[in-house]
Amino acid sequence: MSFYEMSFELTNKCNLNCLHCLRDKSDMRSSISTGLFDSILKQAKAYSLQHVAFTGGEPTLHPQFDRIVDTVVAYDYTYHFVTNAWNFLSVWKMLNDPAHPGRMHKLSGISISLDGANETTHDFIRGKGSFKKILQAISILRVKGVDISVQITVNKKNFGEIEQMAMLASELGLKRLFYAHLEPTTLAFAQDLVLSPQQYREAEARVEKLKKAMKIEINFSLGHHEQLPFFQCRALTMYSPNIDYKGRLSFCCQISGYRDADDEGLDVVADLNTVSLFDAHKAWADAIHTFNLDKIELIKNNQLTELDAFSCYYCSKYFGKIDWMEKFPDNPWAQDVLKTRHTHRMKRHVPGRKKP
Amino acid sequence: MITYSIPEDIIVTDLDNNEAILLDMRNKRYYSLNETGLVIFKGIEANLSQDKIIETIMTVYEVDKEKADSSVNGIIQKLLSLNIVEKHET
Repeated sequence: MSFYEMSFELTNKCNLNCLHCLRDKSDMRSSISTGLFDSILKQAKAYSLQHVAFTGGEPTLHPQFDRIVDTVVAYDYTYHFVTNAWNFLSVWKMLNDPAHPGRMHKLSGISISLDGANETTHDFIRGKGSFKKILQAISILRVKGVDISVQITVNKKNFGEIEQMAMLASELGLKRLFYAHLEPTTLAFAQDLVLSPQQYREAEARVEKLKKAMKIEINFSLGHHEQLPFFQCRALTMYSPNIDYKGRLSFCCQISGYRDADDEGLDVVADLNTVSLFDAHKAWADAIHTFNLDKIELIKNNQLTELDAFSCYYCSKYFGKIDWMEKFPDNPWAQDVLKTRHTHRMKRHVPGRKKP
Repeated sequence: MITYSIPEDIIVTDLDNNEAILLDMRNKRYYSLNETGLVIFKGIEANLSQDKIIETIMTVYEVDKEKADSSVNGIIQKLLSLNIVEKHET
């Protein structure tokens, strides 16, 4: 179902400074304009778009988040958003404004970031006071009957709490739980948060056991180990185009705005400030075609490595997001990057984009 | 003298002073407090004596002592039975 939903990184502003954060913090703080947002949603009607997802940064920090939500409501889409819940009380008040009943009516759920089974672990990653804030947000949403999902980024600090986090989510009565692998950054390396490839597999196996044993819906998000080399993820099937806070269509939200990488990288497909959604879509189709051709070539030449089976890691390497790993030559991820980054890099020129 | 306190495991979320949600982290149970309940709960949080809380209820809602007393006593007994409030006698 291509273009079933559209994902917007509404802003790169954030009120936390999480140790595992993928996003580049050096860029100037800014947010997508409401005019461009409206224009994109209007064009998306032609695709029978159903749903809009908000990420960030912290999406609720968009200076006109209320207007953004009202635009979604006006176009009759449903929506959900990911939040760190730090300012959730004011967000909840805005959502419940009796003058705007559509804000709650069209809200399909809220996804909250949880990074530990207890205050100590969670607050180590996300900052002091954060655990209490998410419990307060969960309290409100649970009592008011809003679907709650929890997103957990597995890292060295919470690796031992994978099962306890599922227990906590289940006991709190949450709807579903998503585990995700950490996308390595220099900060995550410096904080010793990055697990080894073997530990990535172990985390997946433990989550698989939890899925069978527990009633709560549990998933492992995109980026896990894939059995088939020519797998097709949400980005490759164009399920959910990702628009960043600058109004650019990027290849995938998982590598957009990658810390320590080129912000004008090969994954940026088109700028919707200057081209229509339809032309951007064509450029995206070209980029995916190129991606697939390059992958086929690697399969043909038997050049895929064991670590390439981690889908987001492969893309990070393909789009040149993790070349900085050369600073960590002893790490197994870095060794794979150093060995394959030239053979695995996007080589073909995508029309309208700078040459690789 | 009897005083009350709130255990650390109770997460309180105050929604605009007219409603609160309590989450007991020991058993992961949620409770809603209405406006009156919230005034009483806040009195307990502030270490006020039961008489002082009754006085507050009389002032805020303009009710007589008998009614305020019954209200405060009823809610405190309920909170005690749920272990959301602890009783201390000195």
